[in-house]
Amino acid sequence: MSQKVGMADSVIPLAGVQDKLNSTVLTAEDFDELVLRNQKRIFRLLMSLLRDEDTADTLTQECFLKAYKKRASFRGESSVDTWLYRIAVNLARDYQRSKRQGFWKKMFSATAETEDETPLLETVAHDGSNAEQQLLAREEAAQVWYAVKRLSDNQREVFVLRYSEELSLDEIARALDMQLGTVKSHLNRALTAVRKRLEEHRRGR
Amino acid sequence: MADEFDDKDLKGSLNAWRESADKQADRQDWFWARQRALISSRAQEIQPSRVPALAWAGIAATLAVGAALIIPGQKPGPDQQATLSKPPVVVAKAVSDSDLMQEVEETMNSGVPDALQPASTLQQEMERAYSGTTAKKTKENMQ
Repeated sequence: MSQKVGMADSVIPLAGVQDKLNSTVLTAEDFDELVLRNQKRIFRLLMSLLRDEDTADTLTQECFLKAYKKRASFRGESSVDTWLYRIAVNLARDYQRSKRQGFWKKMFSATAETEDETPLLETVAHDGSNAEQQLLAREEAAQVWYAVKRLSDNQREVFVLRYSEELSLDEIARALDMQLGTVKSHLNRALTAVRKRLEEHRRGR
Repeated sequence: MADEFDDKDLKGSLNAWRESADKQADRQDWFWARQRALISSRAQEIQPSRVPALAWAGIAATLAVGAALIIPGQKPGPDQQATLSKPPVVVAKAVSDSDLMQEVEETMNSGVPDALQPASTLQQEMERAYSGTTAKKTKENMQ
């Protein structure tokens, strides 16, 4: 069973680091601590958004380096977590934008479609429930991934931050620099799409 | 099984999906340690350094000197440079002694400026003395 880092880690007090970020005297030790406490959730967010380990790894590094470079501009209006999420989401957006403009995506879109659907069934945890329940959970998770992949970028970001990172709607609004109403709208559309996909899957069984 | 997917079903699916996301991002400790090491080493590379600041100061000083030389009107022209670098040349005018004496005489006869009045008086005295001496010698010679 994988160790969950979302909710547990998000409540770790980061006041010390945040104060130092505000005063722009972040030492090497402070920065290492910041990385240690946040690298798993940033990596997970990027994996959920991009579904590519190498890219998520690279962008996680970029996220912290960007935070380090821009530490003087951190005003403390939001938490360090939210600030890091914002940087990570922006990096993911930039990556997806450049990827869309790439030639190879068109060339290999057909194979990629089939390649990254299969492992979805393997990514649901195996706990103590019976085999049928496990299979059902894995199938439903795969359907959610399928639907999430087809959401718009904004809808996907809101959905992942809400249901994977478990941020509040206010935190999502700050992380994505959106109005609260816009966040709700994106989340509602994302949930509708996911629900629709799950209903279709159930009918097809 | 009903086709409708109620909120409870949706919640269950979302929980399954979240566990899937966790598992998907789960890595061994060495992965996180390697990632931290890479971030740390790259962060050290971008530490602010004094060298660029000094380099900028040198560039700024060079530009300032260059601008001072380039601004029109500030740079001395070739003629000005020649004037500044060479001492003035005084060309002596060649005048013969006879011409000089004639010029002095004409000046003396053409009315004397106030500034030369003492010299004029001296000349008159000398002429008077000279004429007196000449007359005395003539008398002595005649005696």
